[in-house]
Amino acid sequence: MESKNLIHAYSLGCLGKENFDEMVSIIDKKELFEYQELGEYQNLAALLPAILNMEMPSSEVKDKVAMKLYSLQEELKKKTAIETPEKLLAQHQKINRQSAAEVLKTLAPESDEDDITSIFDNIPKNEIKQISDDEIATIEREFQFVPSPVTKPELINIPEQTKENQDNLHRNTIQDSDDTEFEVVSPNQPDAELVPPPQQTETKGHVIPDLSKEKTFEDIPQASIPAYELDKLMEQDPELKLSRDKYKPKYTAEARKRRSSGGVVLFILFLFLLIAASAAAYLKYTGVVKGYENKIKELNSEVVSLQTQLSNEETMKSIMDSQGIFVAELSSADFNSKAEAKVFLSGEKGEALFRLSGLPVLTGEGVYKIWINPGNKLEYVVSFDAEGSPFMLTATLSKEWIKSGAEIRITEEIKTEAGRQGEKVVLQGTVR
Amino acid sequence: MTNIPSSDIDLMRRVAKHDSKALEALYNRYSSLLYTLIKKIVTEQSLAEEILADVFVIIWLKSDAFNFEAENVYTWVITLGRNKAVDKMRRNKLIGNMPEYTSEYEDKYIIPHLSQQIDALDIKTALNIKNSIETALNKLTDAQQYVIYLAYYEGLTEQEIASKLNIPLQTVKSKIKIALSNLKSNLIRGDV
Repeated sequence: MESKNLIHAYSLGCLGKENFDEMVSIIDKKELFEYQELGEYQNLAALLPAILNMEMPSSEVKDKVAMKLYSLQEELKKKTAIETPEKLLAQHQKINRQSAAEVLKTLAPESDEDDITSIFDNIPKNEIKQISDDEIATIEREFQFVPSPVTKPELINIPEQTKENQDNLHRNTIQDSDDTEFEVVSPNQPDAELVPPPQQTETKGHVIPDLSKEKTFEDIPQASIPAYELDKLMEQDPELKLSRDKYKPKYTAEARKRRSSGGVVLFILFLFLLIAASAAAYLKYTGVVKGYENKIKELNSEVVSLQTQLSNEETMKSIMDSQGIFVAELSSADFNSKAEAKVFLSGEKGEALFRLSGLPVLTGEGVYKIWINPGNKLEYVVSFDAEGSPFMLTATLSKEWIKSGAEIRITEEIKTEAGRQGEKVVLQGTVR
Repeated sequence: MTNIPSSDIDLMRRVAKHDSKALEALYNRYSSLLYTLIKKIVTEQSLAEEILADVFVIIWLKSDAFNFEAENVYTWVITLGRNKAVDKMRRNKLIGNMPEYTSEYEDKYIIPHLSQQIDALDIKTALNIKNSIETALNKLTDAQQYVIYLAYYEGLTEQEIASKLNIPLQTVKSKIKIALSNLKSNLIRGDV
């Protein structure tokens, strides 16, 4: 039976649409089928994730589920309220004087896990059971089943406002209510409210002097009395002298000197700050540039690694695609060694993919060499350095060497001693 | 008085009666495994959490699709989670021609259609035999493990696997069949 061949792929969830539809149709129509076998494979596939290392979702997911259910329920409720208000009203009349809470209490199913503090507790069980008296009253008003009572606006705690704000609010209210009497403001007639009079302004408690009163040098009127006559006048009028003294420059030579040295200090301080800022900026940008350089290095090494991986995958594909596939598992005779390797060989293509792990990185002249003994002679395959663990290595070798029973060895050698197998065998295994 | 924990099937029955506490108990029991599975498929944490939430919404809304006679909550819930995650992942990666996600689509392609004759299985049993499953899986060849991985976690169809590995469709079919048959035999031989 053709459909029987679909069982494995269907259980693993990898059937194409056409075959999937065929299987679902068989199951749903309960046609004669190998249901026992199908059930076994479905259970088997579902057991696969059981071996994964468990991870916990964040605690918000549970809230998210509750929120989603709420919003769905709300949506349903709205729909129901719009579509069938009469039905809801009838339901409401049926439950008569009972409060919604009492109804919910009697209709809610009993639970033996009530001790769980549930965030799902308030998920509505049923749209109809859920409707509260207030909601039904709203529906009644909306659909005018009962006269709509005049309702007071809801009491809201309005935050205390400043008198000015309240005044503005009041003014706005008046203007809003009176839509005919907007005051026309002409640019030629400055309004007292629009152009504020000179005054002291308060900002967060600090009194800022009204600068409009300050005189500038330009504002000082030109002297109408010649200077030579002024001294005379002052002698006659001591008040005038006092007043002139008041406007005399108060800077002495010492003060000027102090002012000048203060300027130098300020300039040095400014220079210092400038240098510090430049140094900080330089350090910052150097850091950023270094960061980018490191990133580039990382990306380059990632590219190299991906290229290697791609090449390994292509070899793997090529091996998988070929006819005579052989596998060898290499292990160490040293029980303390963690080194191991798996080898995939294609007899058809003469290719091999080595997956190695646990091999220590060799120092100095040390190098690993791979050998194969197809029968009576040890043949050299390839040399390599262990660069991290695990890593993959591809090699081509004579097709004649690849056969069941051939022995593969990985040995530790000295680079210069090519073509000769030393004593130290690190890993070995037989081709299967 | 000590509380005896409800069985999976008891919880599912109560979920079908819209008992929100039962849904929460089911969440507490399955969320970790489901999240691990979903994250393995979609890899991104926030997306995995979103899908996990969606799965429990589906359980709540469509519990009537569950076969209560079979009493196999584990396979139903896990398959549902896997289907939902694969569907989301394929939509995000624009793999294949994905039709619009409707309630009908969900009923057919996301809700599991389990066999009428399936042994009862719950999460406790599944986690108890975890080591045996791992051993059985490790006994498969790398090629067999890879094919299972591509199908189950990567969500590829047989045809897509064949294209990816550049091997004939028939080879993929036979590899999947042999891989699952061997896994089953290994598990049975492991005295489970």
